[in-house]
Amino acid sequence: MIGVPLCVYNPFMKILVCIKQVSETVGGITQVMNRFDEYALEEAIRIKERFMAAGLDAVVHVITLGPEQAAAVVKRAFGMGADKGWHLVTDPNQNGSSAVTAGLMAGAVKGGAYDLVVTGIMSQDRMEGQTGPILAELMGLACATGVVATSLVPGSSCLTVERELEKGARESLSITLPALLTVQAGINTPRYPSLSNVLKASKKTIQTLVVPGGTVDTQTTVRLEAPLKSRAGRVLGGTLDDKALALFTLLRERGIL
Amino acid sequence: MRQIVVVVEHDASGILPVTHEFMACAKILGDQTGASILAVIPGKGEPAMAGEISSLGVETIDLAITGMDGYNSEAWKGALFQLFTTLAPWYIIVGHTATGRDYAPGLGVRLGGCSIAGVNNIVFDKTGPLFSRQVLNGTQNALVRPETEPCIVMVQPGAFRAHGTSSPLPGRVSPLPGRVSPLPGRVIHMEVLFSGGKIQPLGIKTVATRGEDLDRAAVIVAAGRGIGERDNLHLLERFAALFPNSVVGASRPLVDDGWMEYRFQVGITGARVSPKLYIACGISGSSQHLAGITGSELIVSVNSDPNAAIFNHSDICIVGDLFGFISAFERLLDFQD
Ligand SMILES: Cc1cc2nc3c(=O)[nH]c(=O)nc-3n(C[C@H](O)[C@H](O)[C@H](O)COP(=O)(O)OP(=O)(O)OC[C@H]3O[C@@H](n4cnc5c(N)ncnc54)[C@H](O)[C@@H]3O)c2cc1C
Ligand SMILES: Nc1ncnc2c1ncn2[C@@H]1O[C@H](COP(=O)(O)O)[C@@H](O)[C@H]1O
Repeated sequence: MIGVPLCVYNPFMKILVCIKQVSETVGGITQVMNRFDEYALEEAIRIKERFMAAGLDAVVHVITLGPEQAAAVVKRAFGMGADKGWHLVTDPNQNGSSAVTAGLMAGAVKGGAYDLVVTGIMSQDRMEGQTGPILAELMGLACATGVVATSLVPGSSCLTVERELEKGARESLSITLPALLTVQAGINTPRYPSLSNVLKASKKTIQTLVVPGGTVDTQTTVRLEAPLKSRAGRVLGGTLDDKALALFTLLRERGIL
Repeated sequence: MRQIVVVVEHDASGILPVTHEFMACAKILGDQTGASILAVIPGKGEPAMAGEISSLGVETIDLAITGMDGYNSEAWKGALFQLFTTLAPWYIIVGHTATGRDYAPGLGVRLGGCSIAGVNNIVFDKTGPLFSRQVLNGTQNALVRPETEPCIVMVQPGAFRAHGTSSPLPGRVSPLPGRVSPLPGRVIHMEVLFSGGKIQPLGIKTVATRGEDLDRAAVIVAAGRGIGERDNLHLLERFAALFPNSVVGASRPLVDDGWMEYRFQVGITGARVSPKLYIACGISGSSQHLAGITGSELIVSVNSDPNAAIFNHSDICIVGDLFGFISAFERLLDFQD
C-alpha cells in the first residue's frame, strides 16, 4: 500500500547526535553546549536506554564541528552517557552556513550506518535551524523537525514522533529508520553529567579530523548590523532607585498605576 | 522573465494569513529586480484557494499531489523539486514556519541552490539583494548574500507587513495585498504523483489551551531565563501584584523546564498578547518571543545586558539587575502608601 512505512526487526540502534559549542555570556564569556542540543542528546540516550532495558543493544555517538576547544562539549556528552565522539576541527575563524556544516559532517560520517541522527532545533549563535534537514538530505534520510515527543518499540525500525506546529498544535508521524530528527526544547529534562560517566570518559575515544577551510558556501554573510528598532527605546538613567521612580511617574501619568 | 515563486501556506481549509507576508516580501524583491511573481499551492488540488490568490493578479499553480494526505515533507520536496526544475525560479519564498523549516532546507539542497533562514528584511546593494536575519540570540542581524540559485528565502513570520495594512500585529487576519495587476492571474492546475512512504502522517491535534489569563490581563509581568531560579518566580508574582489586573507570563524556556504552565507562555508557539503594559524581566528578545508581544501598548524591559535585543523593541529600557530594580520599585510604592 502506498505511504505505509514498513517496520522490520532492528535489534541494534546506532544513533548520532550533533552537538555544537556556543558562547554564552554568564558572568564573562564561557563556552557551553548549545542549549537545544542538550535536549537532542538526552533524547538519544533515553532511546538507547529503552533498547538496553529490552535486552537489545544501542550506541550513541556525538559529533561536533568547531575549533580545538570544542572538544569540551564532546567530553560533556561522555559525562551524560555518549559512547564515542567525532570532532571535526575547524579554523577558529571559519563561519560557514548550515550548508557547509552539514556538508562536512555528512562527508565525515559517510559509511557510519547510523539508524538515527538527532540534532537540536537551532544553534543559539547562527539560529538557522537548517543543519539537521540539510544533513538528512545529504545522507538520504527521512526527516522530521521540531520533534517534541518520540515513542518506539525497542527492536522495531519504525518510530512514532510528534512535531510541534504553531499555536500549540502537534502532528504525529510514523517514520521508518534510518531517519533524522531535529528536537525542540522541552521534549525532556536533560541530565547532568554523572560521576560514574565522567570517570569512564577518559577511556572513550574522540575521533579527530582536521577539516579544510575555504569550503565553497551557498551564501555569504556580508556584514553584521545592529537590529532596527521597532519602538522608541527610551533608556532610563541614574541609579536603580532613579529608574524605579521614573517608571513609576510614567505609569502614573498613563493611569496604569 | 525571471520568476519569484511564493509557496502558499495553508491548512487545507484555507490560506493562512502568513502567506500575505510572503507576498509582501516577494513584491519588494519583484519591484527591485523586475522579476515576476508566481504562486504555488501544494496540496490535494485547491481550486478555491487558487481563485483567491489569482484574484490578487498573480499567476497561480494549483499543484495537486496525489498519493498523500495532508502535509508530508517527502511529498512536498519531491513535487516542488519536479516543478522547480522546470520553472527554474530565481527566488522561492516560503515561511520560516513549522512547515517551511521542515521541507525547505532539503529542497534547497536537491535543487542545488541555497536556503536562507529567518529572513526579517531585504536591503539592496550593488550585487543585488541582501537578506537580513537574526544571529547571536537576536543581538545582531547578519546580511546574507546568496551565492547559488535558486535561493529559498525563509520569511520570519511577522517581519513583513501584508500590503494594504498598517497593522503592526502579526497574526491578525490582514486584508489582501493591493492588486499587482488589475486582472486576475491565470490559474494552472497540475498533478504530481507521490509514491514515497518513509513518513506516514498520523494526524494533528491541539494539545493545550493557551492565553485566557494572558488575554484578560491589562498588565503582564513576563519572566525569562534571567530570573535564574524557579524559587525567584514568587518575587515576580509579588511585583505583578503591585499592578491592577495583572498576571505573570513567561518565555518558553521556563515552560520547557516545567516552572510555569504552557498557558502562560508568550511567543510564536505560545500566546500573542496585547496588554496595556508588558514588562519583560530577564528576557533577551528572540524573534520567537517578540512575535508574541508586538500588540502590547507599552513595553518595558529590564535586562542586565545593555545590548539585549529586547531593548530594540521596547518603549522603556531599564538596564540593570531585575531583582535590584524590583526591590527599588517596591520600596517606592511602600513609601507612597
Ligand atoms: C521553533 C521555535 C519556537 C519558539 N517559540 C518560542 C515562544 O513561543 N516563546 C519564547 O519565549 N521562546 C520561544 N522559542 C525560544 C527562543 O528562541 C529563545 O530561546 C527564548 O525566547 C529565550 O528565552 P529568554 O529570553 O527567557 O532566555 P535568554 O535568551 O537566555 O535570555 C535571558 C536574558 O536575561 C538577562 N539576564 C540574566 N540575568 C539577569 C538579571 N539578574 N537581571 C536582568 N536580566 C538578566 C540576560 O542578559 C538575557 O538577555 C522558540 C524557539 C524555536 C526554535
Ligand atoms: N558546528 C556544529 N557542530 C555540531 N552540530 C552542529 C553544528 N552546527 C549546527 N549543529 C547542529 O545543528 C542544529 C541546528 O543548527 P543551526 O542550523 O546552526 O541552527 C544544532 O542544534 C546542532 O544540533
